[in-house]
Amino acid sequence: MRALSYGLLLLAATVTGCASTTPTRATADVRDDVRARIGHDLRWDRQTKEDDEAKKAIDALLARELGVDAAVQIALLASPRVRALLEELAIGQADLVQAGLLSNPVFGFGKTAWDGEHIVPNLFASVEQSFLDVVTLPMKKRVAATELEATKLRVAFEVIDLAADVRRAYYEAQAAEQTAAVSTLLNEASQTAAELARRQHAAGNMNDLALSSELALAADQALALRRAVTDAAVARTELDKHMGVWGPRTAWKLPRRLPDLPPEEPSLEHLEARAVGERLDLAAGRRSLQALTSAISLAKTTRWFGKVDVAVEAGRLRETRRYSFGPSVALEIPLFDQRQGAIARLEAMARRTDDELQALAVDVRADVRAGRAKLVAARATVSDYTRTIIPLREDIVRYSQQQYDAMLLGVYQLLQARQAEFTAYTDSIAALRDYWIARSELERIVGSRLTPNNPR
Amino acid sequence: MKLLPRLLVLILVLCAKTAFAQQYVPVVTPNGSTLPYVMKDGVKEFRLTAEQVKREFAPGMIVNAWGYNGSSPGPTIEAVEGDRVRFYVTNKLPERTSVHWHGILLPNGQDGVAGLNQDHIKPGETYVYEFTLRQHGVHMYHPHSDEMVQMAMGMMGFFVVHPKVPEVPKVDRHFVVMLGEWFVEPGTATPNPMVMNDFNLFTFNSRVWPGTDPWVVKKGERVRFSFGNLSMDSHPIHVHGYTFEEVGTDGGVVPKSARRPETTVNVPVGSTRTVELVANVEGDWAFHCHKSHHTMNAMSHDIPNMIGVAQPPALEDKVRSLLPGYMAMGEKGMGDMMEMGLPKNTLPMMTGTGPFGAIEMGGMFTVLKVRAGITSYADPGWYQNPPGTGAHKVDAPPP
Ligand SMILES: [Cu+2]
Repeated sequence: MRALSYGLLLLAATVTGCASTTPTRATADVRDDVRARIGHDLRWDRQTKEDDEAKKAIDALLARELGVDAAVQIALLASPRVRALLEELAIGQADLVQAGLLSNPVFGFGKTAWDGEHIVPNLFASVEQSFLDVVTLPMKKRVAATELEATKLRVAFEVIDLAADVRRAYYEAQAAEQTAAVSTLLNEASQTAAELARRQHAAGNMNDLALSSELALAADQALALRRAVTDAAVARTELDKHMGVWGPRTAWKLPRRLPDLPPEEPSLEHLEARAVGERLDLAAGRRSLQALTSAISLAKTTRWFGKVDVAVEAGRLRETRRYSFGPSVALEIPLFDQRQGAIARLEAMARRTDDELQALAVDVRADVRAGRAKLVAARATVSDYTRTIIPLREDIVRYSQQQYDAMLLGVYQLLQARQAEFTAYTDSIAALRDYWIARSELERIVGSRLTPNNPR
Repeated sequence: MKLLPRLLVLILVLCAKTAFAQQYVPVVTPNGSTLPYVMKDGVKEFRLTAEQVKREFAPGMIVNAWGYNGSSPGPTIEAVEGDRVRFYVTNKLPERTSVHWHGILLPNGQDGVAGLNQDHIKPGETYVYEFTLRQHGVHMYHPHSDEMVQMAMGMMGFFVVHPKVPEVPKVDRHFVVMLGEWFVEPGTATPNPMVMNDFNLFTFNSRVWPGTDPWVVKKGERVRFSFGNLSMDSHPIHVHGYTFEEVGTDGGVVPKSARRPETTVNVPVGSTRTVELVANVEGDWAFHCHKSHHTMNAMSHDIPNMIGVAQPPALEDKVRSLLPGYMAMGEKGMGDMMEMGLPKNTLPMMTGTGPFGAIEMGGMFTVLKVRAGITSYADPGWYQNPPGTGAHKVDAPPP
């Protein structure tokens, strides 16, 4: 019996292995996935020297003019949301460790209710161990490992998605600041026109109606300016939220202008196939399906095995005063419960996961097409502004100036021409912002950057 | 043997031509011309082609006008009372036309009102008009088919009928000047015939100052000026340094007893007015329409009135920060400033320089130049006032 107990211990040691509860491998895999797809470094270490390094990196990035990639990098280093996501990995890792553990042996100690003929006093002890675990443990571990794989993919996907959120917030903030700057100029033009009107009125050359109209225009413009300034402030705080910064770290500075259109679009062909191949949420779904399949086969394998409990009992013999051991086996007879309920449930879950995966793939393909159409249209709109609308507005100002100089046009019309030009600038800023957002959104949909070199 | 008869014929023709030419003193059409003719079977035969023309209103501004024989106004027709005249009128316009002989007494079928007296002359067609001149005076010709457009585009000309018996005293020099008004949007070249009141260019023979030729006469000459008006407004034409008498209209000669001295002759729409003076005072004398807007070039009638509106440098700078080339204008009137820029094909509103600087006019303005002892009517240059005869700056006298 001694041999048996040693055997048990050895077996326990083998099947449980020495799995760590620290998800170092998982984090490294996620980091690799993220870097491969969006080119950013994901660092996460709790209470280590690397934490200090990350802090220094964040402050260095914030000290310079903040580019879109810097904003994403800061989010990946600083955002508690990213840290919360990464804890999923620790949870998955813990589940994996848990799945590799044998159930603990049960030690029994008691006194028989009757006065035993052979046993004195009527005391006995037993050690009981479930042996089904020994059979199912490797399979359970495989299921848990697959689930961890799925978790890693899902976490990487969420990180990439979050990076897309940062990029969107970044472009919104930059466009809002640029719009506020133009709005300041618009307002100056209106206030100047109003001042001229007041002087014209005071000199007796403008009637009350015309003056009121001019003043009303200027008042509207002042409101519009306030709105634009507020929008810019709100957009800033949105970016703060996404980067996960607060306090002194919110004093960052954006470049004054949105980046120009890249000279050309990367090939938009085969994007659907690329998205279906690269999207990590799809990969995660596939892993989940795999885990469910494994779980089903585990359930099916063990459906005819009931519980097998092997026990060793000990008692002291009355005559010899020596201890005697005796094994016992308790077998569950799968007469009523053959796991049919559990198996059917798992099978339904697997089918559901498969359906969901297919639905997601259909959505992804459609989203790619829509995202690509938006990107192409946004690019065309920006081109229209830069090639046609802005030059025309500039021509109108130039010709208005010429007509003003020839005394064919009044100063108000001249200022209005300038204001219309400023409005066109504002519209073109919105168009450029929409372009960059459309690009970020398409990258989000495809699941990776469109070009290896990140736009600055 | 063959050469002699030919030479004889040639001499006869030349004599006949000289005889006709000497019968009257030809009129002068400043910035214009006289329509040539040929004699055919005792009829003076003229050719008029209605067509699109480019007219330079003043250097730097070309207008897409309509006219006759390459010009607007069309060439001046000259004939003599009693002449039989024949006109071949060819239409090279994009639309149909006709010619009405304004003020001329003629058979009804020659009067040229399309639809009333004759068919329209369609593009590419040629019509002939023929009649005998039974009067003398200064008359006009113009279309009577889509006339709103065709006259606004510049289709008009003089028809001068000289008296059969030369007048006494003889007139030495006779200028014929067609008054016109146009709306040519600054920066464009084609007149807008839809405009009814807001004209921005006012012309003497489809030219504006400083593009109008000076009217040069020799001191002591008896000078006649005929003004024709087929525009939308009357034009009070005013001379400096002289008074003149109105001696004729498109209705005929004003009887001597009805003539009165004037310095301004109002030329009503649809009329000619002929005035006469003896040029006995030397100098450069302004001759212009007295409606002040009519002595301006391209102008806008709805710009804000800045007269007396203080625009201090700080405010001007504020506008300049938005519009770098900006200059405040109009605070002290418009005379002291020159346009800093112009749309293409647009004349400055006030332009033209004299010996003492900017003349600050445009439009219906020119200079009557009276000089003693000249041998040519070419522009003699600016008049030099004899020393001590000109206005000049002095210190203000004590109160
Ligand atoms: Cu006038």
